[in-house]
Parts: sequence; C-alpha cells; structure tokens
Amino acid sequence: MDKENSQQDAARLLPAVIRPGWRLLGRITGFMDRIFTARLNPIYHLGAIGYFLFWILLGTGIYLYLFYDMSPDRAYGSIQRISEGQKWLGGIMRSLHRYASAAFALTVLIHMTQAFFSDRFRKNRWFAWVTGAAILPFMWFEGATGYVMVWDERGMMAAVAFSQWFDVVPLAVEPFSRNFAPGGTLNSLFFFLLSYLHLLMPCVMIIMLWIHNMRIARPPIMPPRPLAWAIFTWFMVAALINPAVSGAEANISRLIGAVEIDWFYLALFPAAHAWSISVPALWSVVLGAFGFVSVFPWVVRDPKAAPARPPIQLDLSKCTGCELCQKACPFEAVSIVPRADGRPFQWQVEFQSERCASCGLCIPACPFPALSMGEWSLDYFDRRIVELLAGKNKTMVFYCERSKADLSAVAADQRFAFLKIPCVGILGPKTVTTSLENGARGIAVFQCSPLNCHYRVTVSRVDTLRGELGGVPEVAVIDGPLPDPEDVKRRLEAFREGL
Amino acid sequence: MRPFGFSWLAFLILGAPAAISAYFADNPHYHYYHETDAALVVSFKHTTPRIHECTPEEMKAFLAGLAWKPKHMQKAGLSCGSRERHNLDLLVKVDGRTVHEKATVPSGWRHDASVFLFEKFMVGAGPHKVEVYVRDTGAAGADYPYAYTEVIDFPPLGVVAVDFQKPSFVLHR
Repeated sequence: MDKENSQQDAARLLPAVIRPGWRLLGRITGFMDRIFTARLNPIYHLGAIGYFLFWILLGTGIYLYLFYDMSPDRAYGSIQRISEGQKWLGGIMRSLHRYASAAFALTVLIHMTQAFFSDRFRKNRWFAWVTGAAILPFMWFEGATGYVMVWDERGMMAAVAFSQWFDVVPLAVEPFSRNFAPGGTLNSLFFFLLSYLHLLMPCVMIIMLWIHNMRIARPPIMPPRPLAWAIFTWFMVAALINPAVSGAEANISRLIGAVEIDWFYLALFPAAHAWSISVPALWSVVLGAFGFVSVFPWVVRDPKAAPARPPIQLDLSKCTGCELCQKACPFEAVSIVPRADGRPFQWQVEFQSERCASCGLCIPACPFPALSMGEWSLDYFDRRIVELLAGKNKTMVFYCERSKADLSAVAADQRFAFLKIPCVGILGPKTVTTSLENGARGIAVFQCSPLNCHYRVTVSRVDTLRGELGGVPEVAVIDGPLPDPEDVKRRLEAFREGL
Repeated sequence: MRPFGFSWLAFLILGAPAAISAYFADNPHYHYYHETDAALVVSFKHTTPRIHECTPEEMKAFLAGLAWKPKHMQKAGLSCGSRERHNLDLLVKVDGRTVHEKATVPSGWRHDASVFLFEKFMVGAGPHKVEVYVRDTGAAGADYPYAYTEVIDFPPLGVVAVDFQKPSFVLHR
C-alpha cells in the first residue's frame, strides 16, 4: 500500500491554509449526504441551483417589466399596481423576483466558498474562478439597480449612494447627485437608462456565465428536478407568507430615516454610512477585495503540498483521432485537429496542457493506447497489478486518493493488495481483466461521493465500467467518504467473503 | 408522504435559503438620519466667463485674417480670446461658520465648459442663517459679486437646495 490513509492523502494534495475549511466542508457534506442522499445533496448542485435561480429571475423580471412605467412620477405607482392590483400574479412574481435575487447572491457566495475549500479554484480551474469572480460586480449592480427602479425610500437611498460613488469617477462632467436634489434634473431619461441597464446586465451575465463554463464539459444548468421543485415551492411559500412590498415613495426633499435594507445587495451603503467611510476609501475596499479574490488561484499555494502530476502525454504514432479521449475529458482540454504527421488518418488529438487536470480519465478511454501521464499508463497498471497480486488470492483494492476512505485498519492485511489512483475514472476494462487474470479475488474500488468527484465524473465511472464488462460481480464500488477504519474493514471483508 | 421524494428534514432544510432570503431582503432596518437632522444642498450649473474675452479690436483682426485664407487653412493658428474659462469660487456659511470654501475648475479637457456643482451639508433641523457666495471671475481675494443670505427653517429630515441662476439665487424645498 502506497499510503496507509486516503484521508491524509487527500489532505496532502491541498494547500495548508484551506485544510481546516476543507475538513469542515467534508463534515457538512457528509451530514447532508445522509439527509439528502448523495444524488440530491444541494451542495453538489450549487452551480446548477444558481442557474435555476437566474432563470426564475429572468422569467419574473420579464413579466414585471411589461408593467413598469419609466418615469419619476409613475415608477413607484406602477410597481404598487403590480403588487396590489394583481396580487395573485404580479404580487407573487415580484416577491419571487426579489427573494430569488437574494438567494442568487447567497448561492453564489456558498458556491464560491465550496469551490475554494474543496480546492477547485486553482491550477486548471483558475479560469472558472476568475470569470466567476468577474460576474460578481455585475450581479451586485443588477441587484442594487433593481431596488432603485422601485423608487421607494430604499431605492432612493441606493440611487443617492450610487451617485456619490460614481461622482468620484470621471465618467461624466455633471455630478450624478444633481439628479437627486430638490429642483434637480431627475427625469424619465434616468429611469429609461436604469431600465435599460437592468435589462442589459442579465444579457451580459449570460455571456459571462457561458465564458465561466467554457472549460467545463457538459456544465449542468438545471439541478435535479426534485431539488428544483422543492426550492421553487419554498420560494412560493415565502412569496405568499411575506410578499415583497415597497416602502414609502421616494421624496428627494427629505432625508432617509429608518429604511429596510437588502443585506445581500445594499449592505455596503449603510456600512459606509455607519463607519463614515469616504467614497474613495470605499472604492479602494471594494476593488481591493475583488482583486484579492481574483488572484486566489495564484496566491493560495503551498510548496509543501503534494506536487502536481504531469499533464497527459500523447504518443502520436498510436493516435487515430477517434475522439474517444475528447469525450472522456471533463475539462475541454482535448481538441481534434487535422492530421499533421502524414499518417493515413484525417484527424489527430491535441492536448491543451494548461486545461489538463491530470485526472487520467482519458487514459482508459483510448483503445490503442496512446496516452500516459508520467508513470501512469495502461502498461504501468498491468505491471503494478502483477507485482501486487503475485498469485496469492488477494483482493485487489483500488482507492482514489481523494476518496477519504480510512484504510488504516486493513493496510497490513495480506489478503488485500492496494493501489492508489488519482481518480476511479482512470480504471478501464483492461485493468479489471488484468486483475482477474492474475488471480485477484474480487476488485474493490473506493471512490469519492459520486457527485463530489474532484474531476467532475458526475456519473460513477466504475458503474459504466461494470456495464462495459457486462456486469462483473467481482467488482465492488464503495462510495466515500468513509472516515471509520473499522467500517472500511467490515465492508472489505464482507465483499471478499461474499464472492 | 415524502415531499418531492425528500424526507421532511431534508425538505425543511431546503426551505432555509428562501427563509434567509426573505428575511434579510428587508431586515434588519437601518436608521440613516433622525428627526433632528436636515441637509442643505448647493447645486447648480454655471458657465463662467472666458479668461480672456474676444475684444472688438481682436475680432476685427481675426476676421481680417480669415478673409484672404482658403477655407481649409482658416482654423490653424487663428483664435480670438481664450477657450479657457475662470474657476468658480464658492463660499458657504451656516450660522456664520464657513462650511465650504473652494474653487472649482470648469469641466472639459481645456476647462472651457460649464462648472457643475453639488455640495451637501448636514445641518440640524430648525432655523439656520445660510450664506452662499459665488465668484466667477477667478479674482482671488476680491469680493464675491453674487451673494445670498437667508434664515432658512429646515424641517425635520428636510433637504433644502440653493440653486444659483446668475445673477440671483433660487431656493428649492
């Protein structure tokens, strides 16, 4: 056995600074797995839930826009008519719009936290992290301008605060704040511009979300249906119990007294007021925080963490351009390009090493085999399996280095032969047949929680493998995390004896 | 019965984001200003005179210079007066205390456009003597040619704006 404990293996791969958060996240996801089952655990679907909330925002927003009046005198009244004049449709739409927008911000925040503490923000994933962070200002601006459109006291507070923000930026010669003084220049043009921006931002965000997912194969944009229905039902309940309403109508001849705050989008404004932060200082804080988050992929590193594996290497003389490796890659790191070496095939493979996660999923996908990753290749597997089994009626145990299965209770057990692998996706039919041909008494595979695979193998690769082999009873797939070594021992022994 | 296939505990947990969103979308409230507060705003747009206005003699010379030149050459090197305008000096006093004294440069790359001003001062509710002085000739140290003095009664949470429309001032409530 290479290492006695897969939990420690997984921790070794991470920078030290994120390990405590990673352990806590592991406990939370384990708890949620027990309550929701791994398939419906919302933590594994945060990105998709974010999309789902975005679709709700888009649908309800289009409806509300049909009735919105873009003028300072009538904007407030038009929103009131939606809420009160058509309580059972417009009122619910408005409430859904507001609460889904708040939940969208909350989901994005949790999604980022989860990506950070599960180490899915650096190396080949820096692009998704940075483009995701770039969506944040648009999301925030969209949420905050939505409140201005209502044109109640809260909207005016946001408008005045925004004006002060933008007055220090040399965008226009006339201070925006002049709009919001008695006798000022506020007119329908402002509301037209505001509505236009509020419509434009989601279009920009759709493009940015597309860019955000560019390096991810088959990104999910809808959560599983039961999850979507349950979330939607709760938002309907919130809309019915606590419908969104406007505050008092904005009055630019009056200072704002006590005002409701949406703490997801408007928190900065009262914070700046309470702590007397000047506008330039606030800009510095916001831009600094944004810049700081954006550079995480490069600054959060640990030279003591386990070194990265080399990217995939291609033996072009064996490649036929069959595209199977491209289909297996979860990170869009494989391109099919016209043949350049004169061999009698139309296409060949080209790897973009900066996108490669070194998961090895393409290695078993290649039937020829043309791919390897450092020492990892199908030949390497064959050699190691022969060495480890040595005809002693052992059970072959493959364990993913991130599966968090504690194997310490069986590490010295001579009935089992252990081989650590980067991901269960690296196992192919040949590995299984080699093991069985060399006298393995069954093959046990410890994988991550199926929907929490570090390499996005969202459907268990080993289940697919089972199908490819026509159902092999000698293969057992055991889902992680399994922090109890006795539990691991019990399962392994039960499997071995059951054969 | 299992709602959408979830256990009741799971279903209740899924309600948490909606509950958190619905609560924190409005609560807790924040108190910006109190009934004892009020604000004075000085907000206006004003185009100050050019630093050097075109005199009749200069205009005569300028036109004479244009007369013999072909059209595509007329612009180069010819001008009458300066493009740049004077700074605008603003002095604001509340109850005799200076709360603002600053020169503002006209907008535009060459400082040839109008001055746009927006200044806000927090004052307590109630009557205050407000003095606003404007000078648009850039003559530092000279008297302010435009002055406004008035005792204004600020209502609780009220905002009163003083607008300068040369040569007078207008009060907006």
